[in-house]
Amino acid sequence: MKNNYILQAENLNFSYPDKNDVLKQVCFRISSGEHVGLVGPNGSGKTTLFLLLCGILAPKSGRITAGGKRVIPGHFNPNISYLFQSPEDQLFSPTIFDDVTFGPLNMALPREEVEKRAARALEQVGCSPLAERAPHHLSGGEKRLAAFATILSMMPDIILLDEPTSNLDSLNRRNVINIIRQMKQTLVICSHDLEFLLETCRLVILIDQGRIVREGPIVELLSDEKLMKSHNLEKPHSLTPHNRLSHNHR
Amino acid sequence: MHIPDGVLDIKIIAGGFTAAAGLTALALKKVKHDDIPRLAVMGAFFFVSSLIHFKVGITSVHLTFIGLMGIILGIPSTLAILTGLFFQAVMFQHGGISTLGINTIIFGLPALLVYGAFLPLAKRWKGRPFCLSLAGSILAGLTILIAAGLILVIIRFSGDEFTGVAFVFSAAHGMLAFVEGAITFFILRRLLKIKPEMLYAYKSSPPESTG
Amino acid sequence: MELDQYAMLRSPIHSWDARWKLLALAPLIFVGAAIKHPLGLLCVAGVSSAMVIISKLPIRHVLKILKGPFYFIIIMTPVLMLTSGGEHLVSWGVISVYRSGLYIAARLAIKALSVMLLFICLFGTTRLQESMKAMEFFKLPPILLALFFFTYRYIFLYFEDLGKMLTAARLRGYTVLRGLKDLKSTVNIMVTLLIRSYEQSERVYAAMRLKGYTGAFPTLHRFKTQVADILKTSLLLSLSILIVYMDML
Repeated sequence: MKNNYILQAENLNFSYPDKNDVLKQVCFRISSGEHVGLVGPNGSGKTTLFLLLCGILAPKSGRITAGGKRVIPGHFNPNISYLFQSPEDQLFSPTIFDDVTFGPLNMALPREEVEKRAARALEQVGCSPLAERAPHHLSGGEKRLAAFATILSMMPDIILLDEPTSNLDSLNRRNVINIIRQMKQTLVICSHDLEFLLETCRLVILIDQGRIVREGPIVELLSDEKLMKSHNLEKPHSLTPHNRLSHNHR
Repeated sequence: MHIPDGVLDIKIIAGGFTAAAGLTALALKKVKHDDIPRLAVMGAFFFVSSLIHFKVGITSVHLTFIGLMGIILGIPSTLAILTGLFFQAVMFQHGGISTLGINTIIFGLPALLVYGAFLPLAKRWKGRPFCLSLAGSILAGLTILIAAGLILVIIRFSGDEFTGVAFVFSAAHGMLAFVEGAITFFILRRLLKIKPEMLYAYKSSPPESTG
Repeated sequence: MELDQYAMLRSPIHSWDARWKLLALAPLIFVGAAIKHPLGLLCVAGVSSAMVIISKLPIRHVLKILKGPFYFIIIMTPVLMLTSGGEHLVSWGVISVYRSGLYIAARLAIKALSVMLLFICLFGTTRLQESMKAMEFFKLPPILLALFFFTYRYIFLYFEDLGKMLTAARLRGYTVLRGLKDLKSTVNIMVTLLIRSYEQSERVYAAMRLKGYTGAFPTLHRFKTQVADILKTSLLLSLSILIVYMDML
């Protein structure tokens, strides 16, 4: 049966060797082109879920489908990419340009295509002048944007972003918001920065203690003060009645 | 610590590179591509740590961590050592370029010996961090003495006039052996407590960490 | 610290194809390190100095890099003068200063400095990635190349990390290790850095796999041989052979 759900998780269960039931019966479906937020208190399993979705970890049981194909743990799937929380984990080449071309070169794309994609990705994040620089010469914000470019050059259909605005100053944070709002790919964004999610996502999934508690339209869910409090989260300031703003989503 | 350029005979230089190539080939056989990030990251750590100088009496020495590298990285430690030596030459002009081969042997062989000696002990004394740490520290100290001995022999082969130089090098290594052994003991003890799976011997079947 | 920070300059040495440059300079480095004949030594010294001048590398940068071998020579000269044997220059009881020691030290100095100058010409005028690619051309195993690339990157990362940790520790009264007094704190810092680097390597590996890593380090760089490259290399290789021949006579 054909559906336009680009990312699906069915009955995912996962445990670490020293910790059981990190994820329990996780199920969700995300449509193509959606920007979905993922929220939950520390230790709720958000990063683990991401690691499962992109195939770094293998679930104990359950199934993940991305772009119509089953995600096989350990296999290279250029369709789905993951932006790590720390850019240092993702910038491992001598120059930014080398890092941005790393993925496309491994995809065995022709030279001209690799160069084109690299230029486009760097342009998209405003990092073209940084191409020949070494990662350790970049500021924190520049590293974050450069790491983003290394993902974009692969042109995946699905991108998982882990705390993309952490440690960013307001200007760089705004840059990231602007970039994300223009992206047509399917994004799943894990963040504690709820105001950021309000500006970039239409839907949200709330996860706690390894289970999906609720999912739905982001304004509605994050406005539910009782729900947020019961999962150690705070209702975003902009959603308090006297401050309520209209949120323009993509 | 390393033998610098200009001291050695051409035959020894060539022999050094040949032997190092052999050792490298052996290590490459044992290495898988998923070992590379670990080797690189650990190699970089050791490179940076070995730049920490400290005073012993009137001189200052720096640690080599050769024993620890053998214990943590196993047979592929040769590759991390070669890489470390190369970058020390390129970035800090430490050691020689023509002597890269012979220096790899001087530091690489003892690291392998330590690993070889430590492996059966790691199996026998699984879950006994104090014994293992002590054994590791003694082996680490021994690597320095073996390296010192090798340096002495090799430099002597290059000519009588360098005997004095050789003795100075070896004496410095002798002092280092004790300090390196002590530091290795404390590091191993902590590692075995917190993250025993870091040791090559325990890569796939770590003992219970007690930390 | 970054040897290739002036790799973007323009000079006949910079424009020399990295593979041909390696082919020319590597043998000369070994010749310079092992040569015994004084004329051959002066030849190598002359060539290496000339090349550095032609390369237009800043003198300050070159002198900074020469500091390393220079210190070694400063330390070794008195040792050699006291221990090399041969004809005495001066004697006080059991301690003798030998004439040949001075000569040997001078020879060592010229060798060490010449080799370093050639090394600067080789690695200081080409970006490190290109030099690595040149070595791959000469059959350096790609997995070793990948190891070099990644180690290079993480060396800088750990300088930063170690710097931050030492600063944080200093703010709490830590002083750099003197004898065995500060052993515990130093070990703690090292172990923390060690474990963090190990855990980071697992994440880095995951990031690389997600980008299709299969063991090689791909780059776009393409080499192009020009006539000038062949000429320069032939000249230097001939010189190396000549010096070796002179030494054998």
